Amino acid sequence: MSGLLNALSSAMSSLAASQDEVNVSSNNLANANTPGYARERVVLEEQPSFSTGTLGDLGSGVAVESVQSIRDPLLDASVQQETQQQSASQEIVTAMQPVQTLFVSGNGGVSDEMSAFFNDLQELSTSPTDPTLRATVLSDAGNLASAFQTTATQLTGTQQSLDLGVTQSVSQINQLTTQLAQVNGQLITAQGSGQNANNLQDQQQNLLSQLSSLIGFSVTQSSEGQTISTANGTPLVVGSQSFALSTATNSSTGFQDVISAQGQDITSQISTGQLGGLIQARDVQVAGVLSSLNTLASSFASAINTVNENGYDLTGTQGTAMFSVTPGNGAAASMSVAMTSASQIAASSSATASGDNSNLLAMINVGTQPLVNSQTPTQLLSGIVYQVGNDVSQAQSDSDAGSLMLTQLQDEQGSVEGVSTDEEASNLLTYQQAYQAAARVVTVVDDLTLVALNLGVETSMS
Amino acid sequence: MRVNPNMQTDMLSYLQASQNQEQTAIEQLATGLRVNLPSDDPAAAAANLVNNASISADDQYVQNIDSVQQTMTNADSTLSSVITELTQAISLGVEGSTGTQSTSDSQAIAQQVSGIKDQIFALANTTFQGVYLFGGTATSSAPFVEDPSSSTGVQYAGNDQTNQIQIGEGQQVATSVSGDQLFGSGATGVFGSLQTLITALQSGASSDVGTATVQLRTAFDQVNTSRVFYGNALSGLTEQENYLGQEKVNLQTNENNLVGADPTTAASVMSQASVAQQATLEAIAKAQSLSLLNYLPQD
Repeated sequence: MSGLLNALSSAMSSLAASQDEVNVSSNNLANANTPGYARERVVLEEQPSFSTGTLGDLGSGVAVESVQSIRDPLLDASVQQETQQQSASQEIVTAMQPVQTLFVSGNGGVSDEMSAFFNDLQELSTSPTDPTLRATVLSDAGNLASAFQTTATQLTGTQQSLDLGVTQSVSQINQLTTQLAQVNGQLITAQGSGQNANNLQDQQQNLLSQLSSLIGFSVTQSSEGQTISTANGTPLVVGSQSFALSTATNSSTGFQDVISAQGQDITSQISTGQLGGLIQARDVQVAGVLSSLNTLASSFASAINTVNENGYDLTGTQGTAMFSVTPGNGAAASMSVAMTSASQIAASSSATASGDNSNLLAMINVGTQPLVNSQTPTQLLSGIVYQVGNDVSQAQSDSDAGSLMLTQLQDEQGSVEGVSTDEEASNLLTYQQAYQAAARVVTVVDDLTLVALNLGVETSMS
Repeated sequence: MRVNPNMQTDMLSYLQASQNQEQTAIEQLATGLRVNLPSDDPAAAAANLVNNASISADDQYVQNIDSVQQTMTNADSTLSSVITELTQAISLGVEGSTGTQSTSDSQAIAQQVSGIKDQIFALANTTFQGVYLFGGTATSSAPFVEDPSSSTGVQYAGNDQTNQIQIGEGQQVATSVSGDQLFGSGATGVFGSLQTLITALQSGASSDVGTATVQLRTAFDQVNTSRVFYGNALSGLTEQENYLGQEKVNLQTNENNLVGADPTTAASVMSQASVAQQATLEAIAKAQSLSLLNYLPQD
């Protein structure tokens, strides 16, 4: 009888194991689309056998050793890293895409207005005293100044919205690091008491992948749990403690600096993730275009002013400045026309000959002669167009390459960690068969037990 | 080998790729441009800006030429009238120098020559669109003024400067000849010679009239020679205009090479992309229905 009961308990353990397997499979199917979820599998183990003396050892069934998450930490880390790179490039593309439309010709931008201005001067040179032509020069000078202004204002506007993004991004990062610290704490406790912490690990993974689209970081694992720090080593999470980043207004730019919990300015050291992209676009790409534009505006205005001041206007009076501009960071934004009357255009080089156009020719030459860095105004503008176009196309190709790489890595990650419904379906069949077999054993043992109890008489007990 | 069971990301990226291609091709076909934004080809966009500036400058050079052509044609035809008047005065001088006229005839001829002098004086002060044509660069006041105190009766108040205008990159031409160069000054100038002739005719001394007529002929030659400038300049301008037209064609070809789209390529890219997109969509639809769960016995 003890032999039969032993078979019964083996069968019971098999029934229990199969049920667990079906449970896990069902949970896998349920979480097939849950972000951060890694498929789980039941790890079975043979139960300790017992000795029967001369016959040797007899097995006593199966036991569920653990439920294991199938995870590849290396792949997880690669996906995070690629996400950090890709989101930075994507952010730059998003920021610079509208900026480049400011420099497309035919839209009344700086290059169009500058051409118009010089063409007006040419026209005026054919008839230097013509009041209509003079008025056209003056009004197109106004258009040119306002094109500089508008472009600069739009660039500053772009910087301001990027700046707002920086603040928002920092607060999202802080929210995530707080949650990560919590999960870390729970993980430490759970692992300390030997619990299955798959669920917490999935959560942790999900939070990390969200964080990686926001900021670049690296993760190190120790007995105290995870340490998450930025690329330059600023800690964000150490075990169950999180360190919040903060923002502070930079006194010279007026934009937000990112400050670590230790009080250090780490703005320039954040280069990846959405935050890195926002900072780069704000402080490097857009700032670079704006600075080129300011250089052009102030040197152009002062070159034209110098020529006009050297000449004589329609009334034979020494010329004055045509443009008013505040040199430096706000040059383009501050540009305006200083002249109040078209007669103040100093076309002539002589106080007595108002019909002379030689000073106009000198003014026209400003357009074709080197202005800054041995480049003409047209070449400088062309340089800005190249700069803007290159910023976008560079970031775009980085972003494209990044997303290709990311798809590849996610494929690999999915091939290890992803839930396959086909696989689960076929597993379910296996588990079903195992369960049926074990159940069959129970019936057989039941029959045999009856036979033994009735001593061969079939009808006595049933 | 286990494959990624989640095919969605892959499929979406395939779809996106073919959609992107299709969109780019459509944009190229619609705008006729390969470079619509600087990022499409930063170097070409930058070069195109310089090229555009050259096209715009060329258009303006043509405009400059048109403007001065009008002024110069006007000056030239004014001078042609001056020549006619002078020819008339010379034949009157010749008539007066024969010594066969009566004093009253001489007086009448002097009267006629004096009328011619007034006529030429008016012509020398011709304005075009409010600008005096023969005052050098002092164009806002009459270059020739009556001056009874002077022996010639006329004083030149302009200057001897001339404006240059640009008619091509680094190319400038003078737009006028100053009044004193055209008409000369003092006794040997047009007005001096006419005045001498008038005085000689009034005095009735036929030999003086002859000398004065010879003098006037010299002044006439001076006007005629200086006037050639306008004819030469005008034909030079026409040549330059033709050259600029040709250059503009070259620049436009260059623009097309830099940023223009090749419609044949764009059209074929577009049809390829839409075929790819169609195929991807069908593949996705097929793949989604493939699941073992659909084939398991339903009992």
